[in-house]
Amino acid sequence: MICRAVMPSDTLARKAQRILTANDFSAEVIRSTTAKDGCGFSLRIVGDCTQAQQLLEREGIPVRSIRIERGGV
Amino acid sequence: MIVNFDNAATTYPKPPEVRLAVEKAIVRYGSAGRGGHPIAARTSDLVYAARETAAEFFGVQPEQVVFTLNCTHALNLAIQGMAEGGGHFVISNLEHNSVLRPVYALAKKGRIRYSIAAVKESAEETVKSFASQLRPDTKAVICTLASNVTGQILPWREIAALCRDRGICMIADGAQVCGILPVSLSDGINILCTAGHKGLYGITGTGMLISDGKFSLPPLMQGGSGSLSNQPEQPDFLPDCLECGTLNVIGAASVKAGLEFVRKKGISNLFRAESALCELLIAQLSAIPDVTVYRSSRADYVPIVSFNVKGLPSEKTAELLAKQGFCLRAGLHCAPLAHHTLGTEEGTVRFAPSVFSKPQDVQRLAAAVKQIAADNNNFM
Repeated sequence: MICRAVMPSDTLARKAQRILTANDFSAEVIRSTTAKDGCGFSLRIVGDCTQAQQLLEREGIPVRSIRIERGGV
Repeated sequence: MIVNFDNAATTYPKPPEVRLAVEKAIVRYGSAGRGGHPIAARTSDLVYAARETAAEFFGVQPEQVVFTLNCTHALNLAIQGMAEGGGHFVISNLEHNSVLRPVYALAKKGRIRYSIAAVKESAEETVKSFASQLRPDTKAVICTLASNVTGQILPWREIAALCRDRGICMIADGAQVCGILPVSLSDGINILCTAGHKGLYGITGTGMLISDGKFSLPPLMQGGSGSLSNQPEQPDFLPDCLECGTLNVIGAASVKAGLEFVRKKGISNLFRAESALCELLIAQLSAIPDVTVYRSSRADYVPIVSFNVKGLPSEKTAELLAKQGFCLRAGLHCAPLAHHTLGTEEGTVRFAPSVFSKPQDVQRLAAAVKQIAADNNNFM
């Protein structure tokens, strides 16, 4: 499963990346631009997206939005 | 041969590790947190790694580390931020102008009121002095952790406890302490401001504001933050709310290397070695009748010593020492409040060693001071 998590900032994206990587997810910080928020940073996460989101919540990392890009139900 | 004993202003020389980090940074890095291309990505990684290193050093999370231009910038962010909505502030009578001037300016505009707590020789008396200045409307206590003039250490953990019990924000000026004494936000400090270029051995143009996030600070500047760029408001979360514009990436790299250097050397080892140099100097200067050393046996100090030669303006003493290759700063050290407290309105000569200072140079310095005192005595 691949999902994209839109993060509030580059700093928080990198913090989240470290946490996810340490928990056996593959996570890459990528640049994103949306009409709503303008420029920012997202994470491309490979793994169970629900678990990834829960992990980040437990660690207190805010995620602006998360959506599945590929795989999953 | 030139010997630097003005490390309280900025450490010089820098460790080889820091020089290498700066060289590498100039070659390798661009702008952080702005683009998605390889240069931006590796630069952003480097800046985040610098935040991580600082966060570990000071006991916070990486996003709680805000990179600033220097300690003065960090203090202005904190002081002016806390002044939003007014209130009463308490500062100490040893503060550097980086605390006194913004507080004074805010008070002059009628935005805040402030009181000055006297720092005493004993920690217990100092805490009582701070407590006596607190009022129901006291919003923040801002104090140096150690004087940049005498090196006297303030009982910051006890002052932080006073603040915590009353819901008051404690803002600390850690410029003379970070890298030489263990300081952490777990001590109770809410906002720690420090230089990157003194005891942390980074390059000039670096500082940090480290916040526990309990007291939010409105930004002094607004601008590009690399995030939420479609919104006209500055982001309201750390570090983006207090960092805008292009970050000093090379500075961040140097601070990271400096922190690693300090960690490798060991803070207690650095404190012990540099304090020993101070004790060596004090022992020699104390034997010179016409030299006054401004230290008390009842107080604790970081490795800084202020002294004067009787009958000679401090700048003259420093000038004569400089002619022999000894670099010491004289005058008021941007801390007129401290000198007024000390009774040295015309300033002092300040000795501030670093990890690179050598005992033999300290002995030569003491001999030079002795000769200057003797020559001045003969002249008089």
